[in-house]
Amino acid sequence: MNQITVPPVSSHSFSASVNEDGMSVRAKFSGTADMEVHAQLTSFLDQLHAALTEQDRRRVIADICELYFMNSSCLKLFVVWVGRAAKLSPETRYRVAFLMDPKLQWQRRTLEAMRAFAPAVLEIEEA
Amino acid sequence: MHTLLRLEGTPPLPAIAATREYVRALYDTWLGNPELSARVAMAAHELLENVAKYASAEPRRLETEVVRRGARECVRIWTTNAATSERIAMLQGILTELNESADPFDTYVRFITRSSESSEESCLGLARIRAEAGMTLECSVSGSEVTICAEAPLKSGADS
Repeated sequence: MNQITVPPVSSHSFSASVNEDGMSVRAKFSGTADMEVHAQLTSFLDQLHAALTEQDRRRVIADICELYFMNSSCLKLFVVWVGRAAKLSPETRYRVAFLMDPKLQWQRRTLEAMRAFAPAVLEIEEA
Repeated sequence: MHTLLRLEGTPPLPAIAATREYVRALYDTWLGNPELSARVAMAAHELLENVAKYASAEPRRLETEVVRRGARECVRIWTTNAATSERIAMLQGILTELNESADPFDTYVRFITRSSESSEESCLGLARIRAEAGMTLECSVSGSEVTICAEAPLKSGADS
């Protein structure tokens, strides 16, 4: 089993990166996710999905505690990502555990709707 | 009525985040309600991005104000822009679907599901304003100009 590697995204307003510590894969998203970083986030999530499936991982933590805002276009990218995980066969499926900051109230509202969309793969955890 | 902000010509995409933060700070200072301010700011961001992406020509406007509705005050935010007839018809259909729904959250989940299955524009932002920001939405048309208005009470029914 190889280490999960995905090229990080870093702009003046947004960053995304993946770290693996033991059996725990953590993708961290920070800043503001909007149209400015839409293309980069698309590529990042595509590569993350590919790496998780190729490396046979069963769970990834999506840490959005420092993601202060996300527009609906980027929300759609996360929806597509979670939807792709949900469509995998049960043997290859991975779960996505969103780690949120309860002080950022939009996160709970957004994640509750996403969980209703993909209850089999989406978990919500508070930091 | 207090007009808090009027923008003639909406900002380009890279400046929308700064405009959103300005709206949030403005309402936070005015109302002292960070939660409502964040919801209004989110609505401003989604509406402005729609204008920046889909307006067919000038004019492009954003305005926000506090208005009285009977015994209570409401915050309103709206954008006006020129749009194609196809775009206007699509927006009217989306607003009808959102407003006829008895449960904005269920409708939002339906929009999320739809957006996951298509690369076409999903209008997820409008469903998000309705469900996440808890704002009602109206669409009005004058010639080739379309206005999308979002509105929410300053206080919830429980504490008003």
